[in-house]
Amino acid sequence: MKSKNKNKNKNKNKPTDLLTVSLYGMDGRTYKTMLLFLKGPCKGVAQIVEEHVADVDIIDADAMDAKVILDKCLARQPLRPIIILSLEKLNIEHTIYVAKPAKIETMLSAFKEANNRLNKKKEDKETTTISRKPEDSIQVTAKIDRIKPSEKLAPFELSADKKIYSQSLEQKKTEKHKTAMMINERDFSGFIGIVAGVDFNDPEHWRNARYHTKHYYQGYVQSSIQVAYEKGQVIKLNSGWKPLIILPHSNELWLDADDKQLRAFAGIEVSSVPVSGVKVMTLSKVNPKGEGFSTELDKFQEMNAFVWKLACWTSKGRYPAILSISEPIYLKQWPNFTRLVITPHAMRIASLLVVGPRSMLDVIKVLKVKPQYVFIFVSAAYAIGILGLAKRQADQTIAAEVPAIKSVQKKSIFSRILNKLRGSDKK
Amino acid sequence: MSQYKIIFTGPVGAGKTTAISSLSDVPLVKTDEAASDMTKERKAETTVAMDYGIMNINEGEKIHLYGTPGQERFDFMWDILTVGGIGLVLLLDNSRADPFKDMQFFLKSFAGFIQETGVAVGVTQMDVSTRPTIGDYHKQLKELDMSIPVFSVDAREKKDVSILVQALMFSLDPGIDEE
Repeated sequence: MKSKNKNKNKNKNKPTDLLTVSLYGMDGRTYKTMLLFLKGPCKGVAQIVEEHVADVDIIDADAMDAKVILDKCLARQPLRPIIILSLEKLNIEHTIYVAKPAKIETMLSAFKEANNRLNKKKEDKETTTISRKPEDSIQVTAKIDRIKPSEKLAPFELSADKKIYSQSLEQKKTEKHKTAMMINERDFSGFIGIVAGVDFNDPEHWRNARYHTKHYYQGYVQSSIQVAYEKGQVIKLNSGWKPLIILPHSNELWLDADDKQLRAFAGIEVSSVPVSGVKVMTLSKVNPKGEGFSTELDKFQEMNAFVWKLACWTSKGRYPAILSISEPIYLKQWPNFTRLVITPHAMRIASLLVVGPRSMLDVIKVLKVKPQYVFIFVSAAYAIGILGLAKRQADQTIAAEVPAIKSVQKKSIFSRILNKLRGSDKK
Repeated sequence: MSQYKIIFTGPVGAGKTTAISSLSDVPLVKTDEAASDMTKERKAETTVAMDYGIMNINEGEKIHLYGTPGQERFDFMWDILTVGGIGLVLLLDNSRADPFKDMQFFLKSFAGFIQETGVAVGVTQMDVSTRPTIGDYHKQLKELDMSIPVFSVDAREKKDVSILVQALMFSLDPGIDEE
């Protein structure tokens, strides 16, 4: 006993050890700020690590799902020291409160307290086992319920459905951050596919080179996305194929299928008539925490990138039937080309349509490109909502204008730069 | 033979040096120094004068790639660097406190050059900070009446930087041919 007291005093006087901490309830930017704060002003007294190896949990109690996170941390056995950051003064058992914005001294003092608790726990472990009263979490729940989300935090980050991913987890969503794939004219048919019965060499056939999105998986996906956004709800599209989970709060989708499988399914016409009284495709609500999909991070895809490629594979060089090839259309913004499938001449078409409205026929004529390259681009851009129909008189006027042509010398250098870049990309 | 330049600009740590390295055919000429001001919280070394790389086009023709120093106290160099430039690549770090403010600052600082040529925006660190989204940048740009390319970019990925520069070329002249 004598020696135990001696150890206790020793621990009180010793400087704070390097702590390993895990952060919760913080978006990417807050996470990075905290990382820099710990490294810099806090002189590296704590290091951010994965949840399962951390000594201490740090929770932003102003996050909307702070209650859930705190309950989870308090339920952990053995219980770790928990530091809670909050704008409002909180006095919750088993936690160490730090007022926001966190100051260096209070943060260091919180780490010291956490360190003391860890050391005490080590000593206590020798004689007894820590037991936590079941009512602890109930008490916490009641107190946290009163906390309102901070006004400073953007509302889109505050979702009860959204799982809080740490920075490293976001970076493991490899498919979501994948670099673009450029398809050249030679590989177009092989990668995109061909449609029987349409002769793109005959201008008379161009008007027939259209398709109804609602007859394909693309239409169902787009409708489901619309429902998910309108309801602000995570939704699953059950199609008899692979379940597709739509996460509107993070603009992501989750699909347990690779591109090859998606490409094959995209081209199949789907019957809208119920088979044996059962609907072909149905929607269901999803509890993200209960589904278990959230651990397979490589299957997350960015919403627009997914819809874009789905539209490309459904179109196969056709245009959506809702559009007319002779009516002017325009691009509301440049597509995020570094994360999309880039079909032949897509950047040229984009640069023309972002300047002002033109009909598809006009684009084909001006750029001297095959119609299917214009149609597929239009299909994909329309699917993600960045292409609009020009109906106003003012839009028609813009269409008549021709983009400024640079000097022949500059035109030539731009062209050579492009060839250099495209040549290098192939290597 | 004419000399052409592409200018890379943006705040500290946005990836300008890395982006130029991705495209340059020669080892980069760097002027990095150990960071001594608040920059050191973001990275150990920072560009104090400029970065310089070369892209060989053909038959001895070169495109000079210049990177401006990120810190505002070196902004006196920006005007000098842009002389003879054919376009601007603006890189923004999405994990910084206010990337919109950064964007507005650089668009304003290079307004004259952009007016004469063009600009393409690359947003880095989107795998660290997913907000704001590319759509949010476009909304901000709409208020400035600008329809310019804005792409997610990993400056270490040559393809990302290449696509960004290609978009810059097309935005300068939609009529250019892909030979």
